[in-house]
Amino acid sequence: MTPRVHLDDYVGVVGEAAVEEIRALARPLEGRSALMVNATAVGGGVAELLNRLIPLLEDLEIPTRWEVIRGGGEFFGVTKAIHNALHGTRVEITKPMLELFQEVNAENAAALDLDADLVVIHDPQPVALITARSNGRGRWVWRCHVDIAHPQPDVWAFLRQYVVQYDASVFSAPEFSQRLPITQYMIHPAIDPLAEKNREMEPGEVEEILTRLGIRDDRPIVTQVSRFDRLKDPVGVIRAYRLARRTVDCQLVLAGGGATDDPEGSIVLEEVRREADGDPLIHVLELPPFSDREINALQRASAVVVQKSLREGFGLTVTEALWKKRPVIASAVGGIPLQIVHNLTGLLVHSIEGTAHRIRSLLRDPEFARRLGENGREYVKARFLTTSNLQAWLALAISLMHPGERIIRLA
Amino acid sequence: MRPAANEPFVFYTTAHIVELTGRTARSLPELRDGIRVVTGSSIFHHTFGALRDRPFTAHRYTSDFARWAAEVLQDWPVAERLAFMDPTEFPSIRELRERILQVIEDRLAQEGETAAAPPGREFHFRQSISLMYAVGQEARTLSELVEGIRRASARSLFFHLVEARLRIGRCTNDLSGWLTDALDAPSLARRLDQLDLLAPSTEDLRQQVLAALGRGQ
Repeated sequence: MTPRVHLDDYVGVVGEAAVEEIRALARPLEGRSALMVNATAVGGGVAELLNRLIPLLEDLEIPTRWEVIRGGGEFFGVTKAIHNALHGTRVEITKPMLELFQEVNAENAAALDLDADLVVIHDPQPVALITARSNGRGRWVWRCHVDIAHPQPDVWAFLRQYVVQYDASVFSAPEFSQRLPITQYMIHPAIDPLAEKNREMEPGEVEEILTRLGIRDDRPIVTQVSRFDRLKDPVGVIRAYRLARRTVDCQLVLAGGGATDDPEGSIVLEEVRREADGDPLIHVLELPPFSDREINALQRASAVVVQKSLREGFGLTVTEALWKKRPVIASAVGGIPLQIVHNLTGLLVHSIEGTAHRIRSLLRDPEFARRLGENGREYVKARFLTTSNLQAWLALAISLMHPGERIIRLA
Repeated sequence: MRPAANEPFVFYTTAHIVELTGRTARSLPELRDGIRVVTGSSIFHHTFGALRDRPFTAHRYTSDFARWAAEVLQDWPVAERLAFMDPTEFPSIRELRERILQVIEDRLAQEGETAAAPPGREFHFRQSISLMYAVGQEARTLSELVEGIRRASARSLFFHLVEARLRIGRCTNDLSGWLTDALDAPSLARRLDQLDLLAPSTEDLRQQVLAALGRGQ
């Protein structure tokens, strides 16, 4: 179970002044209620986010409930198909599937207490709950965590009929949004610096984990942490590593999961192992779920972190690495350019050769690598931590209380 | 200088929520067209907001427009001219917008084609909703002011030193105004007016302020 956090726990990370400001910002909202609704209580980024956000809202005397919708395997099969269709994969979505979606939403709407001053519905699975909105008291916000910029049109048209009924929507980046007649806010995803995946680690702890994973710390480590998916281009990373290794000594770690429960993941893992061809300096690690400690250690032990995705969402693995002061080489896709200012907080690349070139240059210039790492951490500290996320939600809630105002002076 | 002020200096800070406008630009002409019509909040977000939220990039890009022109369009003449422009030298968003437009128009008036952004790298115009509120810190003496500056968050310092120019309508700041009016210390006020506000970090700016007040580390 995730240990409960308190807002004051973040004083050591962002400073007392920043925490005091969050408390002062929350005062107009004290006593107002909030409700978060999503599709799963365990696993996945949204559940992880809510596990951190809700205790902090409670800390600020904003009572917040968390409801998870219920649905059987067939319903979640439909929502998985919708998810893929929203990402642009051509999927057949039939009328009975959509009717099931609507039925399950209606059943949940009847069963759940949806009354609150601020209701936030996360992602498409519960989007149709809006039809149960009554008496106009609360403000309803649809929070979209995925990139829906290029969806299958008929699927988006189906969901859009519900989205436009909300008071506002929230997207992680403008590149992920759609044109809507309602206000669209932007709130970046965030990492929690106190979570197991990001907390500080003692050198001994990192060493113990590397040893357990069979990695010797006798040459620089280049790492990509991602599930085994062709869109993460792990084979491309191996090829880039081999090019770099012609002139700089290093070893490669590809660490990820998702192969055991994803048939395609198993195929990709096999492709990766074939490409690695038994090279003892290429470590292909299939990590089980909840390997946060191991990921933390691998990122911290790395001289360079790579994220050579062909497509990407926001890219929180990049955020994690930047927070740990690792120099990051990443593709200019998805939300990555929001985090990496080229040559300042990291390096953006567009090819295998580009990746190899940057691996080589960072390993040859550790001072430049160190500066990139320092800058990356400061950048994350200012924009992509739980405290920034919390502050954005407070500002959004207050803004909804002052419709039409662009400058709001709080008493 | 008076030993204490009748009216205290009240430390404020800001929070922001960013709104998407739905407007994008794929080229310099489209960027110009967008800058012409977007709200003042949008111009503020992409200039002052960029400095506030990414202070240590300010010595490279003083606005999101400059960064996009450099990193995406790779139109170096206009990127450099936009990067050189210091938003803090403008006492109004209107004047800042006009100057940015002038730089872009000058570039477009030159011969030759200008680049287009690759798919997925368009410029997305955003705008901010700003919330201003007191943080519970006040000062009546110079010592209390210095203590408040030491404790203030990055946002609070930026609000009082940089954003103040837009509120006051000229190149000064809240601290200078209070030092002059409440403590009768115009020489200290003048020192603060001469600070380089494009410091690489808020900590650098804080140290500059403290040094100007004779209380640097």
